Amino acid sequence: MKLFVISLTMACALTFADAGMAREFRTSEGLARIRWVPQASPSSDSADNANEKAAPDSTPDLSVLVAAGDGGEALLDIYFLDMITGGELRFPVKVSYLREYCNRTGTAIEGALADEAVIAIVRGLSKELSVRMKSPGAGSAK
Amino acid sequence: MIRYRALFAWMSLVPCLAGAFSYPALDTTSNWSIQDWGFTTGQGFYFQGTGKRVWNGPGQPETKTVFYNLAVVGTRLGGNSHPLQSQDFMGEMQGDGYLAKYGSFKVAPAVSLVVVVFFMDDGKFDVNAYFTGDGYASGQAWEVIFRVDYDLAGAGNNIAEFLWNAGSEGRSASPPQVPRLEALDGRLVYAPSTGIPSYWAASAHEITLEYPPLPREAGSGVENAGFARILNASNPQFGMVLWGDGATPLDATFKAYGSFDGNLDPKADVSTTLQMTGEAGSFPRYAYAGRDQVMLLKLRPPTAGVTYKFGGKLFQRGGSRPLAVSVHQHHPDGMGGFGFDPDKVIRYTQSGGRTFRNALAELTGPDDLALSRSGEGGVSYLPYDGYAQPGNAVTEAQLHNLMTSQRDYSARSLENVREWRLDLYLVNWRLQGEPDAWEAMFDYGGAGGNGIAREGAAIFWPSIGGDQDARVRRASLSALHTVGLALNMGRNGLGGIMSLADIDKNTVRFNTSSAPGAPFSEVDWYRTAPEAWVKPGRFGVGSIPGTMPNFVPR
Repeated sequence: MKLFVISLTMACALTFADAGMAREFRTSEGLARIRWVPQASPSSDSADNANEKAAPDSTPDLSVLVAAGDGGEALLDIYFLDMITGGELRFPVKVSYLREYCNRTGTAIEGALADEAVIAIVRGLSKELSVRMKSPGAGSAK
Repeated sequence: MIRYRALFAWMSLVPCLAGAFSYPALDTTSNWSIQDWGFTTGQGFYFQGTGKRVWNGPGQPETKTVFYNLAVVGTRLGGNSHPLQSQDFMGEMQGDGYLAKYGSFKVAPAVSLVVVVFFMDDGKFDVNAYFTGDGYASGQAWEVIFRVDYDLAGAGNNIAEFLWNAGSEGRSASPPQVPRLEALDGRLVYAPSTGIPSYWAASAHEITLEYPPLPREAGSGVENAGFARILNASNPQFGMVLWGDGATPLDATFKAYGSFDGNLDPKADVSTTLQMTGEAGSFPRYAYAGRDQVMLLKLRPPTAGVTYKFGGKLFQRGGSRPLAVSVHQHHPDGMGGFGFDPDKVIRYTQSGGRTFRNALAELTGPDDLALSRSGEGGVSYLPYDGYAQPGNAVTEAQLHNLMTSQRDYSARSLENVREWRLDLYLVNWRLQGEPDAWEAMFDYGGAGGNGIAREGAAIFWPSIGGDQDARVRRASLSALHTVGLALNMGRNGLGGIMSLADIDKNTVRFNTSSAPGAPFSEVDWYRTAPEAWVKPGRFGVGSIPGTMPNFVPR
């Protein structure tokens, strides 16, 4: 499998376009932007309320995003830049996966608001999910 | 004599777990296989040669093709087509129990379409798309066009059924079911309604079906609300169910493979006959126009959220059809100690003792029959509170409420597309207005009158006469009888093949030779008749009078 690192210029164009819907987390080691992609509104009142908290125009933190739920099906669009290696990743994660990951690793969602914690979560999540970027036109056999 | 009638209500279901299974079976522990995927300006974001492994036997794997090509080919806005112009990025990820491919593609200045496709090990797939970029504003009525070139098990011959009902006909003169006339304009608009039975049908001509958002539990059915199911025509045990979600309206256009010219606003040409399969007589004949079809899906703006979605799930059944029957009853304390026993000998014959279980196992094969009952496996006893006291009359509405209130709407239950599921309710009540009725089928109309197989039935213990031993035996026979009715064996339009109608004479066995007046036996019927005709469920096969197409048992 070929790894492909998209240009920084392209990455910025892609990620900052939605800056109003995303929350940015930055440390000296990495940068992450997390955008919530609203799904269909669940029928239950509690879920609706959670949706309202995480409306697209807000800048939600992780705890609100995870609480939004949508039955765990809601997507988080994550962009991650490793400041040290220059490696970039962008990947979608279902809220349920993020929740499971935090549970499994003992990471409290409510305590993960610090940028360092979010960067660590995103870095760990990308490795656990074996995220790879694909070069244009390259095939894949899986 | 058993009396039965139909309830004008839907049947519900509680979880029923199949313990055993037969081969071939879907491998739910391995990833999907994808020969190639990527992006080109001609194909869009594509997946070529997508398949899933099945086990034909222990140590005998086989990878079966699902999609010859699945692609997002473009978008539309305001009547203008916007193909995928270039990629912003693409990536893939693999997690526990799934893999996913995704990408972002420019479709207009400062507008990109992000597509994420999850392929789950359990056979499910889940397609998500959303727009992004400075040029995109919520409220814009973008549409996303998918090209779904299905090729189940590589046969080329596929049966493609879709959901419709009488209210869907719109401007058409008749439903689009072979060999009857198709919709005159090649387009049907599905009209979900609790008052109108819905049906599965296939078309001999190109056709477009327009569906509103269908919530998963739409129709209070036991299965995820699907808009189409596609099966390998030669071996319909392998196939998939396709569904939308509760927010995304979609159009499904079934076209002849060679007539799709890349137009991103595909229209069904009603004058174009879909190619007939070249095979003869050894597979269900109700939908033989399945060869080399392609389906175009147009996803319309979601009514909530921003994500356009559709998905589905594969199934691989054994040689027969797996059946899961749950028998629910009131506590034995109120029924003279009677607890339903599927292994109780109902009658001794030359071939030995006949039971509820061995009669059904002759339809399904012993490995594809799952039986559960109240008091075991998490199936609870039925309540009296809120309905009626023991021995009293219960209304149809109360019975319906009882069943729907117990229905399991979990994803696990709704996505069980492999098993045919059926629930029987053995109640310590009489049916109001008909105190002598022994059985009631859950249906939209008169018993056997409209071609809808049923998800289940109720059996009224107090109405069954005789001493305790006779009542127990009759209750078991009634349970078996209602299973046969639920499987449409008594349907007039398809030939009355039900041999269990007379409990005093029957052998407690579904017949294996042709029934009088019918070209097929009950076992043939169960194992090989078109799925839409036999499968218990909330959707039927069509209520239009006239001769039904023939099918030829294997």
